[in-house]
Amino acid sequence: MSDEHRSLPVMQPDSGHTDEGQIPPIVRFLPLQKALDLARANSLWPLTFGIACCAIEMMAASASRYDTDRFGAGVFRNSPRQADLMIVAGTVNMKMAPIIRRLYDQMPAPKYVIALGSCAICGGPFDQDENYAVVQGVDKVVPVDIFVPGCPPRPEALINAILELQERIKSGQTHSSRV
Amino acid sequence: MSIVEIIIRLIIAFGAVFTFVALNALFLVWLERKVSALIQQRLGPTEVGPAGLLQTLADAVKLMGKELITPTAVSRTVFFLAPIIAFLPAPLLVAAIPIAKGVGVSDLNVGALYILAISNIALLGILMAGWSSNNKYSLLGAMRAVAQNISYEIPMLLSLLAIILMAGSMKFSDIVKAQETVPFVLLQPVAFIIYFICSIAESNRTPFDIPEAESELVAGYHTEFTGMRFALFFLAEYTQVFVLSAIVTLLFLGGWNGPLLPPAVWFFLKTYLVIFVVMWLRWTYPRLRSDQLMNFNWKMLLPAAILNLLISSVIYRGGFPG
Amino acid sequence: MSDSETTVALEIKPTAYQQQLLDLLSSLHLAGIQLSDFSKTGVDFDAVANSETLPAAASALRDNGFALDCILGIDRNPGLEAVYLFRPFADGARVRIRAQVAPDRALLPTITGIYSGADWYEREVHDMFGIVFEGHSHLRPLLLPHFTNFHPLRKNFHGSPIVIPEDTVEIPEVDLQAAMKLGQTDRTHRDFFLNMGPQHPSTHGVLRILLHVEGEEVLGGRCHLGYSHRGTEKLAEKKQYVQILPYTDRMDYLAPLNYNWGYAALLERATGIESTPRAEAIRVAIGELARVSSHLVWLGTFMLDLGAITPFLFCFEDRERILTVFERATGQRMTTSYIVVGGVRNDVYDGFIQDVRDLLDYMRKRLPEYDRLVMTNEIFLQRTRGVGVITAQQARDQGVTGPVLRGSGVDFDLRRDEPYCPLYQELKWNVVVEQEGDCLARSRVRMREMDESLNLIEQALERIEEGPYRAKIPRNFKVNAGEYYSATEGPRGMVGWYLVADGSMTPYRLKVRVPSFPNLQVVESLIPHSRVADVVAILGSVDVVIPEIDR
Ligand code: SF4
Repeated sequence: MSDEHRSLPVMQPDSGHTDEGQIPPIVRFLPLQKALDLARANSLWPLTFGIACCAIEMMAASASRYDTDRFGAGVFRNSPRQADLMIVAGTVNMKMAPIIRRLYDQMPAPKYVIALGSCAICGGPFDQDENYAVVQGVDKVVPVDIFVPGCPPRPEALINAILELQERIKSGQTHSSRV
Repeated sequence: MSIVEIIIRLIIAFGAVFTFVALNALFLVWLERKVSALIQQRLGPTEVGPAGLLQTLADAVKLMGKELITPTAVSRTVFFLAPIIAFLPAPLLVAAIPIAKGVGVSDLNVGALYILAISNIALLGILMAGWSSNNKYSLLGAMRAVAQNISYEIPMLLSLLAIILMAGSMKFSDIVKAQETVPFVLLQPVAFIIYFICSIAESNRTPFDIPEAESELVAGYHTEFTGMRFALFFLAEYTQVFVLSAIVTLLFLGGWNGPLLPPAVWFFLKTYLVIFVVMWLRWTYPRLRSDQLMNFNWKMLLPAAILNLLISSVIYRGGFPG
Repeated sequence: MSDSETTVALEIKPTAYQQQLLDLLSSLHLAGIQLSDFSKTGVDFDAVANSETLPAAASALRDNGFALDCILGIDRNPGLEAVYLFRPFADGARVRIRAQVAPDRALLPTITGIYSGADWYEREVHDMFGIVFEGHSHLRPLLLPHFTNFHPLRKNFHGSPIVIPEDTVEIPEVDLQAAMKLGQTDRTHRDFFLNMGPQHPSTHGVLRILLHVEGEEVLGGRCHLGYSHRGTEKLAEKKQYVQILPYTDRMDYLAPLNYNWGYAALLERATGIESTPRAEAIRVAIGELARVSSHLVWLGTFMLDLGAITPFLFCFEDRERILTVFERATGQRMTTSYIVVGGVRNDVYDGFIQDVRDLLDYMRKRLPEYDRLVMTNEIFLQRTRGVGVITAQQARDQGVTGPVLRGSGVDFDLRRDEPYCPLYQELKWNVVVEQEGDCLARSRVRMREMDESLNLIEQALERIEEGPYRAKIPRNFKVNAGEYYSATEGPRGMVGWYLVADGSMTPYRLKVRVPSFPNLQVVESLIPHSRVADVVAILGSVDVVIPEIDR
């Protein structure tokens, strides 16, 4: 657990999990790296973590009609230790922000973040000067790979985001891949 | 048998068992996702490989490539050992299961007893995992798992005894041979039901999945485990499902006996049918509460098992067990 | 009572029942007792209390069968005011008692000893306005983080964001002790604290419950809210009336239409604008659809809590069908903003009636299936029967409403008892009541309510007649100065809206009384001496939406 980065705003990688120096050398081997990336892209286990309205659309995306399981992203894990993908679905407020950071720190590398909905992007409808409670964008707390606009975004948008994230993982353009 | 031959045999056996354990788990996870999808009006994995067959491979490779986190407050040695100990019985169990007459790593003459004895080692791994994690959910999950498995062991053993009583042997091939005409499921329906329920409970699956009860305990005893360590638990769980179903097949469904098709095919057909039923149950039922689970065991299953043993000893052995 | 020279200013002739209540109120040393016009303000009786008379008044009202609707604060600038709303379940007569305090000496006696449901309300008012309730045992921030040092709903507060100090995740020691007291035991070596949430699969969002457990048995627990607090009520004071509508969607995202409706009903009451007959029929049809879809989500997530995954997916699939109709009619799946003052925002599309009829046929086939799959399942019955019993008196004290209340044997439904839409009076339907008060009864109420809703929709469809779908409303929408209250029946219970208008285009204060708030509070009192698995079941059975509570 990183203790020094718990306060807001934080954007550095946490204590060594994603540090470049700490990656075992075997992963530097290119074909293996490619195979690993392919596997990672095709097996994104999201963390069960809904905050507000957008979470319902996230649930809808995993339910029968949209079924993210088709792309290997339907295994919702309740424990951050076993999740690869954090979908921040909803409004993040000041009370919640440290917890999101802690959850992110608890996830094992490589880890990815999707900011779902305008609240997670910029505070959404609560993006007002006088709002005392809402964090204006979850990227102030954790590094975000994909932003999905909408209030709430449709499930298709989330699926699109997952596909886009897969592409980025394969081409090594995420915060977690060191390219 | 020369020493070289023994070593070669050992290597082959090891290779076969581990390959089987790995492939079986991969297949079962895929099957589980497909079966659940079927029940839930979904498609399940479709995109990775034909019909999503490579999905679980991707999962496995990904888990291998994940960072291994050892939280600061855990008890390190125990935390390190727990998944290994939980996984260890899986290959040992698979090794003792004959697939057809004379096919299999070894057909022990105490096969049934061996299975019961070895499968409990996994419990130690679970307990170690829960205790060492320094996480209350893990601890609760482990406590539940131990309590549940130890209590369900008893009716399981008793119903097993009824079968041994009938076959007159603890060797699987003898038990299967005894069912050549009539499978024991018809002669011992009560024992079958009890054994089946207990084996679901032993493998911690719904409606008896309280040790990892997702909605209560987050992920139960393996909450804190990442990457490969978590995968080992997973592997162990699915191998256990296979082993328990295989034993149900051997003990009650006539093992590899069957017309036309070769015996090994019959064996796998029956086993996977049982696995399918287990999955079906999982995706249909809610979960019991821990005390209800215990009540069910001690107040229903155990008396029924004892009664069943008594009655069958009277009917089949003229009142003298053994 | 000779010393209570109360001014009973009568504008309206009281009925016998009202006279009785007036007599009661005047015997309570209250000042400024007034009969008010319900159809205009949503309140029947007004009275003013002070620190001395407040507890006595509350306890007299409780003895006469009144339930606590809500407590809210208003910053009169200068001067703070706490408003208490009471209502008996039987005949409707809402009593409003005001208590004024000075901002620098904001002290009021607590009424938690009389109404246990006042607990969280008082904490919220303390959070937002800084009114201190003397005698309250646990007056800690409820919605705001525990380190905040300002009161956001005071008028002199101008939104500086909260600054988070280091090390905020740790549980404050005070909380631990308070939680321990809940368990009524001393700390032994066998008990421990179990922290559920805010990230936990079955807290339905970002609720956090701190449980004090011994093995599997729960000795006590405390809910921590505010992880989804978004400051909507403060925002509303900066927004014009029409601009507030979208925020109502986002409070209860499972049934946004019912919230739209509640807000529209409030403004209609405040301005006297009446919606058109066509709009009323559309509202009933679509509002009941929203109720069905919300109950479906409840069923799915409740079963998820109990460990059955498949019903969840079935329910969501059915819900998708309803959402498709919503999307075609309103343009959005979830955040609809559809029901507006004077009617609905746009007319329904051509095939709407046929689509809804098809949906009805489909749902009529599905509901018996759920009965077979879930409601008669032996394990389900075992998990829910006799678990989490709420008695009628408890429900009244806590201010519980909606299906939870009806599951406790209280026959109360605002659609019938405080009509906000004439159609509910004319159509044929029943209020569903179950007596037992346990998780099973609550589930049965909801399942049967879905049936009733389908009936209502069917009848409402026939009433969709030609005509305008929306009444004319003035361009610069304003509300005359005054105070208005309006309550509607959402899927989770009473959604009350309290508006203080100053005649401008923005509200002076808008308070939403949300049903999940007291409904969740009752969970806290059900937790002791249950099991960990029961906590999850109880929480699932009362069906809470966290952003609605946190606002
Ligand atoms: S983006 Fe919109 S729908 Fe999503 S959480 Fe924010 S307000 Fe709700």
